[in-house]
Amino acid sequence: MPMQAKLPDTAPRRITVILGMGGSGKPLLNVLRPLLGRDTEIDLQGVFVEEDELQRAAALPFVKELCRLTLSVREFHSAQFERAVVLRTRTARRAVAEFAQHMGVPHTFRNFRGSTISLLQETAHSADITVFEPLRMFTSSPTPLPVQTRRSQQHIVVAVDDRATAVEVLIAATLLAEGEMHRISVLLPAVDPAEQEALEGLISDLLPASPARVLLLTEPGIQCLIAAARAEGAGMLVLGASEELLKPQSLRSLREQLHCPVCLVRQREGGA
Amino acid sequence: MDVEPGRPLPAQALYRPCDPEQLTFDTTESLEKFSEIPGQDRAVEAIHFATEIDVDGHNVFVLGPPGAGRHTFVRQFLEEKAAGRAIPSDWCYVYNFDDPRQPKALKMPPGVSKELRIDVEHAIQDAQTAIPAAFESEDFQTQHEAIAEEFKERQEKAFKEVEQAAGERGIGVVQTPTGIAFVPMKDEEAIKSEEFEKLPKKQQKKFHKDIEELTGQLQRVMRSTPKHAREMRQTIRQLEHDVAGLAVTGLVDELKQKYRDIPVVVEHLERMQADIVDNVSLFLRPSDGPGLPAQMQEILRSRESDAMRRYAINVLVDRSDCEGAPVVFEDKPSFAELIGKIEHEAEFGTLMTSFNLIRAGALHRANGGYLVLDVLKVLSYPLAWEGLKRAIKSGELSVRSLGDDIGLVSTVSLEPQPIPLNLKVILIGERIHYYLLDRHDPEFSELFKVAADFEDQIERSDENVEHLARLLATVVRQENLTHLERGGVARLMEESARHTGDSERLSADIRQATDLMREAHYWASHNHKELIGAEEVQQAIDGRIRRASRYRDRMLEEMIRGTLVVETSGARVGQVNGLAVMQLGGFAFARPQRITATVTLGSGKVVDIEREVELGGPLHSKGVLILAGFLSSHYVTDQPLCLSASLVFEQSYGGVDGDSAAAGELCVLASALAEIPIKQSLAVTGSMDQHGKIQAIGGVNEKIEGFFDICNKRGLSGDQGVLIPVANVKHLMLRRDVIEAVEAGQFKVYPVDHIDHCLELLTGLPAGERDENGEFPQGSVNHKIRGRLLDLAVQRRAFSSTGPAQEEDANAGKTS
Repeated sequence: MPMQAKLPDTAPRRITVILGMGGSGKPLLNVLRPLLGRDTEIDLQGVFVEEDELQRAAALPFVKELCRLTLSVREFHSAQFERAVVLRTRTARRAVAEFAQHMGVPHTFRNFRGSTISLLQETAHSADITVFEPLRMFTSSPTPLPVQTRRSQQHIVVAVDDRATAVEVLIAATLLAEGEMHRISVLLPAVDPAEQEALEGLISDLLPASPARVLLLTEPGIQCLIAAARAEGAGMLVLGASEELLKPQSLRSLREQLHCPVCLVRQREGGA
Repeated sequence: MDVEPGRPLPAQALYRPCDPEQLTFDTTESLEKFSEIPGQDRAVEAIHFATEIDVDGHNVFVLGPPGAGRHTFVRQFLEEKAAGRAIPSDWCYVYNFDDPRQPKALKMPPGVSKELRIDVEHAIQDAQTAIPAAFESEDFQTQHEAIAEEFKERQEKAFKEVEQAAGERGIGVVQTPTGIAFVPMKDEEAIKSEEFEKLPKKQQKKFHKDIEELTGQLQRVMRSTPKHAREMRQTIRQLEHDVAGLAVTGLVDELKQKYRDIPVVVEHLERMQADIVDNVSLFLRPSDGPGLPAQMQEILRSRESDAMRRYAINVLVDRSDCEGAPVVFEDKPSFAELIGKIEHEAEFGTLMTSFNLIRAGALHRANGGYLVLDVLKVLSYPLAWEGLKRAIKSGELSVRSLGDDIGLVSTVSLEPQPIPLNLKVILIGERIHYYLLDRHDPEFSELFKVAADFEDQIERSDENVEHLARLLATVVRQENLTHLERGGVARLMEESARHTGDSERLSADIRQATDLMREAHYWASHNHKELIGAEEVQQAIDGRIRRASRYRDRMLEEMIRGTLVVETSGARVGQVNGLAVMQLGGFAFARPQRITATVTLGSGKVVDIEREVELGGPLHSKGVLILAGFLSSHYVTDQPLCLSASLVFEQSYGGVDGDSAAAGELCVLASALAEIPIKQSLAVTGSMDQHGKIQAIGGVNEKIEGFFDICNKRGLSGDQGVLIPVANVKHLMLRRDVIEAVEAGQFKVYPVDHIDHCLELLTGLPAGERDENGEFPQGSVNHKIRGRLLDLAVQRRAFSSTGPAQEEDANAGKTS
């Protein structure tokens, strides 16, 4: 059932999608459909990351690559890497262009050479929403693995820090839930009962039609958040781009330990 | 009644009336129902025998004339017989879990199959709710996710171990676009190439070695991934299996308990239960097919679900409404309607089929009972006869499409399990069908060993008259017609005898009598009568004749106008009135026809002109050849027959067959030979043997009436009449106006039993019998004939003595 929440005028206007070397980016773009479907004034920005770490690795003469698909060991050098980058960039650019055209929104596309972490730190401040995929694990298999159930694919987990930043995050989650992701769970930080009550009131105001499941995090910190999201079987994690979260270690943990796309919601100064 | 050949018959010999006073009832209203067929004991015994004997091949062929009541009798007989027999089994087709191409046939007690179908449908509908609910339950999802999470953690742990081992050696793991690489690290970043070059060689070597080891280690970890994934899938499958099993067990167990007395059903339900668990995806609602056009998705949604199609029970034969063995009359015995068929559905441009589309044929429906077919229809439909024989012979019924059977269709189809066949087939046809099949199809006599031969005619006994009257009364009641008074019944009996062409027989064509009765019912209504009397029956008969006699009337008219020449007075040499019967539709009438003959010197050949121009049939030619034999043996045994005679039916423009004109032809030939005129006021009919004996012919009533009609039109003189064989006197059932003319002495019917009688009557001269010297008396017809034949023989000898050249010339001239 699509959500029918009353949205304030703080709906996202600028959305950035971080695309990497992993795939075409189409699945990630599709997650954004409900966000773009209702508003053609949104700007979509696609950013393709050329990891500088990979460039350095490719420059080393002896580095070999273990193919994820065939498990064969083969040379990994600069020329090969550059070719791969060109091809992947072209694929990503086309995917973003087609998606934006289909949704009827303007778009831009750029390459970013550097680390994904630094890019995330940058875009989290400039875009209302930044969406990125986790690192592809080496669990890739020639045949698809049923690692995600249908239920988890339809499940959005929202992490809320405090009342000041919760509105944008919940609005974003509500909009995303108008697509195929129907269920929303909310992770609340370990706060005092009054704050908790206030947050729960806010949740019920913003998610009136959703039987949102509210969970309390037992500990502060990114690790507890990631564990809770995984335990909930998140199909997407939506969370505010707080200073704490934008630390390199936190971002690295999100990328490496989650199995679902992550949606970072920019926090406006002064809150809602 | 004594019949004196050559003497005119009295009027009472011309018709055998049915005396209403002799009937034991006043009206048919008082008569009891009669559901048998009178006078058909032989056929009834045969059918009775065939339905009692339980031996292969004793199927029945009911042969006889149309209208004899074969269908009605067979239906009544079989329905009574079947009512006392056990109800045969139901048959269903179900999915074959071992080989889907060969749907399985299930035999069930009568009336059970429909109930089972509904029960299974309900069970599947319940499963379609229960299974998805179980799979969407919190518990299932949690367990499923736990299994997946365990797998992920296991993989991550293995990867972490490699990563940790690498970190301890100052090596980092980086994700490349298509894989994973190990890179020496410095300050948590991949070392730059130039920095690496600056490292001591020993350290560089160590990095090389460590990376090689780590790559191998990671390779082993990654190689174990498919195995772990398989294990995970197996675990998930087992979970699904258990959950689905639990969801479906209750539903199926209930059915198993209900049908515990039918082992085949229980076995099928067990297989179904296992199959549902193995194919649980059939019960899970797929997400709307991404990429499928909306219209196609709509079609998919509107279709019967795959699960329902797979587990449905296709009830082929349901006996829930039966009260005995089945009696099936198949009016359209095509291959498919007999054997059954496998239908196809068009699905996105492809023809698809399944066991649900197997349809029963008449043989399925009649299995365990009786199947009644019209043989002509069976033979008319392509391959229906072959299919029927194959089924009976093999004792089992394999449903195949006609296209498959003749190899025209190459699409993948089904081969349903054959069903044992045990029934009696009753074919109904005419005699010609029976004898043709018997002659030309070797399998026929093997499969249809009992012939139930219906009579064309039955004896005109009091008992049969009463039976027929009761049968008419039964039809009157069934069809709510007007009852008959006994005068009406008597008139119908007379007409029945007339229909057979025999005053001592009644027609077995019941339809003829009942149709006439229906038409008389109309006239009774028209005449405001409460009962059908003789008058109404006569009106019905007259109406029929009136409707059918256009051609006869036109022909008669042309005779009166002189277009068709038939003389009914005076006398002529070499010309006699013959009588030919014509049958147009159901109406028979006679056409008087001039037969003429010419005689010249020749080689003893009688030329049948009809034969020469291929208008004469073989029987007619046979009659003509008999004449030649009679002439030579009767008149000139001591001399060669030296004539050349030709015979012709004047103004005959159609075919002529039969030997009933033989007597007339001999008379006209005799007239031509002896040059004695023949009375044109008489007509003659009768076949003849080589000794001159006159033999019976057909259509005697029509022939007499035909000549009477033309005479009557021109005015009856009292000299006119017809010569008929003595053997035909018993067949006489003449029209009332003919009888009245005979009574008034205006018309005569002469019975004759030898050609001499004919010659005497036609010429008015004595025929003449040979004396002790073998000579015919002077002045007799025979004497004149013999004299002429002897003259011709003399002329022939004289002609031959002039030399062969001349003879050849003469022959050549004759031929031309």
